[in-house]
Amino acid sequence: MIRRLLMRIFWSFMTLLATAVLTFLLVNVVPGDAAHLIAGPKASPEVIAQIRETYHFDDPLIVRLGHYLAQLAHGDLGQSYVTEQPVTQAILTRLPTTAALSAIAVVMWMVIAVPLGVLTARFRGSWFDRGTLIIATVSLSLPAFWLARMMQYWLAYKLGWFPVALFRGFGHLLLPGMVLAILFIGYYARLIHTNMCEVLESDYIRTARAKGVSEQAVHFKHALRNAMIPVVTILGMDVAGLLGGVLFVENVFALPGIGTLAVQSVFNLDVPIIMGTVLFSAMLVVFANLVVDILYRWIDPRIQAAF
Amino acid sequence: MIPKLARFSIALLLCARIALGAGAPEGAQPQAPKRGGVLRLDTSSDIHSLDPTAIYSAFEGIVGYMVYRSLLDFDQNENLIPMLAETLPQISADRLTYTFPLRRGVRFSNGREVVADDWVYSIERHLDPRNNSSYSNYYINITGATAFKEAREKEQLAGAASPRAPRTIEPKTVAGLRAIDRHTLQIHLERPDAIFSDVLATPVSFVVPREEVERLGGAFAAHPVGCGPFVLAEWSPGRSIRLDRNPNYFRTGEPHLDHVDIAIGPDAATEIMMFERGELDYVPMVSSADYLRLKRSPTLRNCMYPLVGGDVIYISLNCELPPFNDARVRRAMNHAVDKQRILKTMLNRGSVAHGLLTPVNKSYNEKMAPYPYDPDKARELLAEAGYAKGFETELVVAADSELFMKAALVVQRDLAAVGVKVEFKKIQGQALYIGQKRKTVSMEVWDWSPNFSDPEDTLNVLVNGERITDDGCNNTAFYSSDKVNRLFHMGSAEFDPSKRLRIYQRIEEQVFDDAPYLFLIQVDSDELHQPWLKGVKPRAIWPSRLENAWIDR
Repeated sequence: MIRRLLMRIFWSFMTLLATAVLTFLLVNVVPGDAAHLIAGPKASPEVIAQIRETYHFDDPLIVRLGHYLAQLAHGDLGQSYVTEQPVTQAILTRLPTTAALSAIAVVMWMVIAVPLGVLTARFRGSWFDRGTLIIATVSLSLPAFWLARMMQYWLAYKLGWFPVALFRGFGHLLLPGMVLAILFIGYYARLIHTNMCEVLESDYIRTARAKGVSEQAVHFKHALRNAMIPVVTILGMDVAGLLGGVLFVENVFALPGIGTLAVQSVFNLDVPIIMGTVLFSAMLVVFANLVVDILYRWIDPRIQAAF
Repeated sequence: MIPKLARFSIALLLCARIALGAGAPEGAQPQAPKRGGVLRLDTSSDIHSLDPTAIYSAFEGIVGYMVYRSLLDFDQNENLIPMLAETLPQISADRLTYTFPLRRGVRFSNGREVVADDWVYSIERHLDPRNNSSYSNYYINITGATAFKEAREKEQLAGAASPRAPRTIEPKTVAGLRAIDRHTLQIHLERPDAIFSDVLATPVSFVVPREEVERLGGAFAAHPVGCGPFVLAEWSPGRSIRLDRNPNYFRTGEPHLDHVDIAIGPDAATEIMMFERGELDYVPMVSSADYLRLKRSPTLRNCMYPLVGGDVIYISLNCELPPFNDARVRRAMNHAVDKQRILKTMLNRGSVAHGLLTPVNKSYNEKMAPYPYDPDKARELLAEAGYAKGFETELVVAADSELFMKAALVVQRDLAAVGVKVEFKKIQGQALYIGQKRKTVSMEVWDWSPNFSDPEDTLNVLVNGERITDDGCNNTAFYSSDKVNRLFHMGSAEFDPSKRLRIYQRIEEQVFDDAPYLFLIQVDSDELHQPWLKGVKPRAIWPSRLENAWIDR
């Protein structure tokens, strides 16, 4: 088991290394000159030359990649070209906002998706089930940016129920959290519905019903636990990959999280921050994979985990 | 002091503002400023630095003027006035020595008095290459500046080569910068320079305390100490900036506000929604997407302040690369494009450019007419130059700039009509600077906003052939004309306003004729002020000034 765990960690490390190399190469072939960005539009050629030297911009790409990987090996993600803030610090100061937003969104969508999934399985084929399916399909197809803008416009700007933007406390995260939740509710409701339908057909449920267990207990106690096993796997991956949706939502609502940091860094050609945010999200996904594998075994002892 | 034509330009500008402003509550502020309150601002992207050697964006300028003070300043009509200097400089007869009596009792926010040595230090910082100042060129004409700069460069090289290298190489100071006494600063120049006083009224001359810069090192950019009306209380990167009233500010009763809160992050659409919900007091720019709606709104149009011609958009035609090394081809480009159509795509916010200067420039010549749209003439000129069948070329454009892309699309269509096939090379945002490398880019959409109203700041940068460099060159057309270069020498040494004005008009005329750029449009913009926001000084030249703002509610 230890050997398999070590293999998993090794491949996780290789995935991160490949991500680092690929992102570095991609970012560096984008036309643009970071020296000019750092120096400002009215800088003299001497200043630009000076910056080139300081940041090794004139070195061949492979040499710069070597420098970068050596720096990474020391746990140093470098510092922002624009603000000169260390990348790790930039990410860590923004992590709480993104984490809080993600947590609010996950709680919102699970609180709504679980009962929806269970009830649509119980009343399968009813108007309630069909109506939920339609709503779920619509919510799945909504683009994050559009939905965020629409909800901001109607609920905050027009009706004034929420602040339009910025982060000045918990209340400022509710609307952005709702946007993210809506994007996922439909998918999770259907996922739980499908799993529930499958589980409700199984022998142990039939036995439970034969023993006179109430329908409520059958659904919420016996069936739901098994139906949730695949959901936990996907939830783990989705939380890690949530950064994609967060990126748009944070930008629309001007929340100071990792999503806005990533977008700003792309506009500013701030290579260390771009690299840092990409590596950070890759790390989250890789880590979530490992955690889900371990959790899986804990939730369902019948399953022999990958290690 | 101001040339006649400049007065006319300013009057024109004011008329335009009144006409476009449609009742904007500018100027009429009969009541005395109210003390207290918070000014709420926002910026879409974070500030890069608040070190005066690196301040360059409009928003950094706004915050810079809140934290720092300069020697001189510009009044409402862009005339020079003293700020921390007690009077305008006493200039010697040979125009080489500037003496500034300094205001007494001015203190940095750390409590120490500002003295002449601080100005010497602050100017030397720009010239020390270790500070990577974007503005060292503005001071290079001070006697001994080049020697000082070279000495610091040598120190740097020696330090890099060997840790035992001597730490200081002579000269340790700039010979032409002298603190005569605690309250008198003297600056000696190598050559007469008519815009030197203007430079001292820009953020380039913000004064900083040596002890704080040395104590904080690189962190000074994020923890600035100045003697302006506000002090930086908190800067949470990517999130917010908070400024508090400076208790040591030298002007009694100022600033009027207790705090300034700056939110970082809202995009243009969010910013306007926040403004309309009363969550922001000021918006620096109205996008085209919102312009017509705001203009038609009976309440919001009164919040709009038009800023006329602060920016000129052009396409550089690389004079060192064929086919643009032939002036006939460049003139053909100017005839081939319907600039009025570009203006229409931008909701007519601006006017067709007849050169590189705009109404904010002192020597702006409103009598000059733009190249007329005449595709037949363009074809004729191309045929004369041997391009009867046209040619193919590449145009570098920032894909995320709405203005640049709109202009580029019209240019592409119109040039195709005269046989010139234009391929776009789209580049993201600020990566556009790649175009400043010599002999690499044929055409590039670019813009220019002057630092001050003297035409030299625009023309010297964009068309002075003696300033062409292989990299980092703002003369992106790589245009050099002996006649124009000679006129620049005359212009910078000419202090008589009307003669000076004529010299720069001659430069403009020559540049217009040589057409190193495809002159497109002058862009107007609009600021939004809440009805309760008073005391703002809107400027088409960056930045608008908000440090004396007050809240009337």
